[in-house]
Amino acid sequence: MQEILTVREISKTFNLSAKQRKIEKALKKTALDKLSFSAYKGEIFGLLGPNGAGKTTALRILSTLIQPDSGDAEIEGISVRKNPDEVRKKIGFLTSELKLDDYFTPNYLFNFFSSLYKVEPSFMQRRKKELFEKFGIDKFAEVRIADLSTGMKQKVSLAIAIVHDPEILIFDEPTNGLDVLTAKIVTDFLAELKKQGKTIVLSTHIFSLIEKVCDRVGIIINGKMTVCDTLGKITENRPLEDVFFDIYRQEVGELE
Amino acid sequence: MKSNILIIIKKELHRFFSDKRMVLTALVMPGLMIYLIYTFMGNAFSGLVSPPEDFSVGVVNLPDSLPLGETILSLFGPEQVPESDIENRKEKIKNSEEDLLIVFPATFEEDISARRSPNIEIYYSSVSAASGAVYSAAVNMLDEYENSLANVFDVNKAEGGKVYDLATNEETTGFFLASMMPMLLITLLFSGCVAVSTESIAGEKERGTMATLLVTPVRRSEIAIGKIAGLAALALGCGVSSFIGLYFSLPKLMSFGGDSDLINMKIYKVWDFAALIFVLLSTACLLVSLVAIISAFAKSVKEATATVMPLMIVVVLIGLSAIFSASAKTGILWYSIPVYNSVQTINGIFSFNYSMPNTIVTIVSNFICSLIAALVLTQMFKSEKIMFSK
Repeated sequence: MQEILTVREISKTFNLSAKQRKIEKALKKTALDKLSFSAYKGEIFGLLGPNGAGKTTALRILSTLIQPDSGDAEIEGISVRKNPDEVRKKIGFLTSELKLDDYFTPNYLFNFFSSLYKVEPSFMQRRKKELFEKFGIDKFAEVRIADLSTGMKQKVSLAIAIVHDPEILIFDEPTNGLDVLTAKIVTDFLAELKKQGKTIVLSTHIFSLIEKVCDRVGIIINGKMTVCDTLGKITENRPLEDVFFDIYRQEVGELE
Repeated sequence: MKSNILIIIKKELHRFFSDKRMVLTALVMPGLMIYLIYTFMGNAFSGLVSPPEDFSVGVVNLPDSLPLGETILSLFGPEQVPESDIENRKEKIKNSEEDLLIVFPATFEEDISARRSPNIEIYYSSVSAASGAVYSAAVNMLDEYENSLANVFDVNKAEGGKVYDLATNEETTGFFLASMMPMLLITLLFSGCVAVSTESIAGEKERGTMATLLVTPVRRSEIAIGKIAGLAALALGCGVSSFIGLYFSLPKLMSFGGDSDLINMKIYKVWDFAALIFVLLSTACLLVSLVAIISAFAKSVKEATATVMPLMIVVVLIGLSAIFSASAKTGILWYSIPVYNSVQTINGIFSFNYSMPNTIVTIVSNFICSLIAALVLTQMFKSEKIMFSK
């Protein structure tokens, strides 16, 4: 199997805000502690962990939005530290933190991001038709983002994240906050992308999503990778939820 | 393939023009408000200084043997009132039924001859616009008469159409505009810069749309330059809107609502306005860059608008310097100081006293400073602490 994404011992510490300091009783928080994992071509790799475990930080480093304090990650052999501009050309990144401007329409935004990714106009038109039809965006292509529902916005975000047909997709909590219908569309689309040979790294705390689409899983707790293997080897036919809580108890202690 | 800078510029323009509220408040309203306010002020001043056409004046003991009596008759056409009716007339003025009562002492003419300084009483009501205006006219007329009684010599007595102020009308207009325009234009331009830049930088950070832009392969420097160029064009539009408002309303303000030639903008040539536009564009670039840097530190539009206030005070103070300087500086080094150079060049343009080298130095200096600011903004876009701090 071809290793397409490699994360090598990345660490990240954040200075806490005044409010957070009162809660955490510390000046800094270690979000990632020498985290390592790999993703292979054509697989879906899931990062599973509770809120605050470091999943989003790891994906933000992969998307080059932030830099690791130490360690490095490579996407198709390109370092996120040394060559972030090139890395961004290779990936599609979707997170709930990335918002779309309320004053634009899906059509305008698709064209705008296509231009930034230097997508050929003819390919862009085909791609737009394909994705807009798939997600039903063509029905509201000229409606301003401000007037769309959360599900519609997520569909537009997803279409825009893959406007340039990237080989590697990084999705942070892709079904978070979505209604069941939109979540199903997104989940099915992930499986379809896998069939097309795309490599997907996603983070989630939803066990069923991992069980449904992921080939391999990494469980992150307190910024550390506790387990990283194929779903079958990790669960050994037990429910993933039970396995996760066993690991959590071992690492952190009983649930409070 | 289009350059990323051009794509970002187009996006900024599209964003601005998609927001009708923004277009109205930043582009249409400044010019319209300036025009309406200044025109209204001109008309209001006109009402204050011109006597009303319809008024009623009473006079007691009119000195009709003196030239003063004739002047009063021709100016006010007063009704001659007996002394016994004074209290009744005063009551009428109080009730706004009459406008003015001039009471001369019975011995006024003798007192004047004997130089005994008689007291003339003028009753009026300051809360009535007509009464107040007629009162001012009467006081002026009597002051002039008193001066003529003690006349030993005259200074620049207007006779035979002789003109003593050797400055031309154009120069007078230029002198006035050169002191006012730099402050007005720089302040209004800065307001435009704040409106568009805080929304585009701090607003995008606040709404999370900046992060969406930062995960694209576009270089941070291209985003910074594209944003500055797009926002500068918009800020220039806001500045031009304000200038158009000033262009049409200043003559009305200075001629108190009339069509006097006191301020005539037509004295300026096309190339004067062309030089002005280039100076304003370079200044807009610089101011937008500075506001963008401040906005990038802020977490919200509200915070950015508040943080930018000290810079606004500095810019207004620099603009005010034109009011207190006799003429534009001539030394070329003055024109390398950002913002101050714009004030001096605008001062020079309106007083017909600007040189091409100084204007070019101003424009180049402002663009170089904007470029440096764009580099700073690029580094800020690269900093996760600045862009993603919570």
